[in-house]
Amino acid sequence: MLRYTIRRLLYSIPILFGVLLITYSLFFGVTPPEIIARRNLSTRDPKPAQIEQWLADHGYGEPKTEEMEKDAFGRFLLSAGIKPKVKSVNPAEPPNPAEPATAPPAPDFRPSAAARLMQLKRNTVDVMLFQFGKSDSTKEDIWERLKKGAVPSFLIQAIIFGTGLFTALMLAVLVAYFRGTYIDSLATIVCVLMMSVVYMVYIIGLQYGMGRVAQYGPVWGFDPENGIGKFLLIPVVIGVIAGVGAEIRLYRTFLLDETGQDYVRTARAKGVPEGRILLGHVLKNALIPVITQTVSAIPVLILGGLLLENFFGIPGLGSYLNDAINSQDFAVVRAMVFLGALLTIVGQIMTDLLYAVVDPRIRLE
Amino acid sequence: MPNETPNFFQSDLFQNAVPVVVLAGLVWALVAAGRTPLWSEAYRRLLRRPLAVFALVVIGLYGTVALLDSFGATDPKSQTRKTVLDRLFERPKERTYSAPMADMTFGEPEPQKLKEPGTHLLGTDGVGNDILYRTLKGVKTALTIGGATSLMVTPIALLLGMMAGYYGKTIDDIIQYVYTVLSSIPGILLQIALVLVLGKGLPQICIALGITRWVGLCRLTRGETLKHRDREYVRGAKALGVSDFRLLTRHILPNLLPVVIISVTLGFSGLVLSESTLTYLGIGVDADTGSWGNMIDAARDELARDPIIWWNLTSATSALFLLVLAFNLLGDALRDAIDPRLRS
Repeated sequence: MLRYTIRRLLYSIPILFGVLLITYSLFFGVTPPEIIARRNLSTRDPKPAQIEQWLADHGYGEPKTEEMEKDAFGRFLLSAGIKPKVKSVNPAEPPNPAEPATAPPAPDFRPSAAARLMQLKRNTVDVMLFQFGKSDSTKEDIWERLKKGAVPSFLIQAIIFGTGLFTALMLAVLVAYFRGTYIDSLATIVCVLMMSVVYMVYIIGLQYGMGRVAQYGPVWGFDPENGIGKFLLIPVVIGVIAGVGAEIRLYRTFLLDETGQDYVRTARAKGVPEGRILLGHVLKNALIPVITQTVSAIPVLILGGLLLENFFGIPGLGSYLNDAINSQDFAVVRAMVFLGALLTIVGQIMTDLLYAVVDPRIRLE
Repeated sequence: MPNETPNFFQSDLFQNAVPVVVLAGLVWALVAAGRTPLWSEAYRRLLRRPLAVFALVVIGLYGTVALLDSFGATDPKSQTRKTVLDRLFERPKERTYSAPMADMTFGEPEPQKLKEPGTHLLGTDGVGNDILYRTLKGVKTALTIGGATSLMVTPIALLLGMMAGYYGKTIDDIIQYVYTVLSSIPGILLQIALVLVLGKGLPQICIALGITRWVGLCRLTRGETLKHRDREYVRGAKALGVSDFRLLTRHILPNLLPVVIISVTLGFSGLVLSESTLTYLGIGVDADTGSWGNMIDAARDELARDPIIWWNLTSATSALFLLVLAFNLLGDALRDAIDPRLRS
């Protein structure tokens, strides 16, 4: 078990490295920074100084020599003779009215080798060490904000995940009990109907129905000192209902795959009642494919968090990401992508280990 | 300076030719498939199921609306392109909100008479646009994103999946590594990052969705190819000296297609849902492009008003719901119709 765990952890290193390579090339290789700046600046024809400012604010600017000297890798670069460019635009220089005909040469916004290497270092080594730096828009330390936001987000999503899993499994057992009857077909149709509704509509509808009309809980804010339960109730109900349709359908097929097995026939021949067969025998074995599914729930939970926190004004990671999208905060998005990937990879490792615990047929060595 | 001269892709000729080509390709594929025994059997099975017929009718209707919204000509007066749908709904803008079929504006201290009372079947929105028109405008966006992304993703996923499954070894390792890395980044986060870097717009969203969506299909294709690789018919063909390319395209591919088509159909509904979610989050299509995501976004404030304005939200979500439902039902029906394992 220990050997397998270590091997599994080692396998995930190249994956994590690949993720970092993707994020680096995505943010620094796909589109020239100048074009991103021009697109995101609200003015139609931005001045070079504005572009320079945007680039500096969003992590694309030239590093200063003093900054590089504070950093071990930066010192190494400087000693190797790789130096940052000096500022290409000087906004302090007054325009010369004597020669208005000659336009100034178009400034070159292409980053120097030093800038690229420092960006690469920031986006691999620093990120791996959880040093995400400062937010582009608020200049707040990203890691501090992430730590603050993680608590409500994790709380909500963990409860949604647990409650959702339990509800879906129990309902799936119920549907499997009535397999082949009208109840089964009706349930299938209801599940498809539920799957066809977009997440936002569940939020808007239930927030309105449960929050405004029925007053089951507040529709805005998060104040743990005032009783967490009442702030969590409506978001959790929404999260569970939004995901339960697809889950029931999936778990039903897992359960039905098992009901055809020999051991079920044996149990039935021995006179075990159908309900006990499903709950005692089939459910245990059907849990193995269910476990695989749990990792693929992570993206859904992230999206759910993003939307729920946005609608309910919960100061978690989702609303942080939402703010980052709206203010084009590249640093925060980069940190989030890394954390999301890390979470998924850890989830996959846990799944593989959990397999060995639930299924004695699987030998890890 | 913004470039005002229209390029070829914005010309009427190109914009009108694309739907014709797409439609012709679709009809050709359906007819060609109908000639094979597997698919003609599948068609018969499909048409026997009322839910599948319902789904096909719904998709046909949406397709027609999208076509009406595709053909058009540049209006010489305003120099903007107007489609058939735009022409059909050309009418004066109202002042502000009005309820479905209402005569008066809604939510103003002193309601005013509408310019065209009683004719807005689904009411009007905050700036006085007809909601029915706005809803129908969303159809083309949804179908374009779903269709273009599927068309982009399927060949790539098929090619890589078949190569990984068939050749194994290093090729398999490389392809598996690439998709494992991509699938480790939660889809929504990668999409956000991609749109931030690439910019907003239809093609960018298709690329963002495509990059996150091909992994599942590729994994499926790889697994299926692995299953077929050691079957007797493949070995027999190999023994007869059939080239790898021919073996993959002529022998293995037709056996993969049913599974792939089911997966693409079911994936289509996911793409449509993603489009409106991304638009809602502000990283989708522009506000002036018709999209249900934009309408749902507007509905947030409308529900906070008293009395509430429900028609905008209801129209957008019903249209979205019906389309997604149709593709979900069609995917399920296709699975029942063409998966040989389920046949009695």
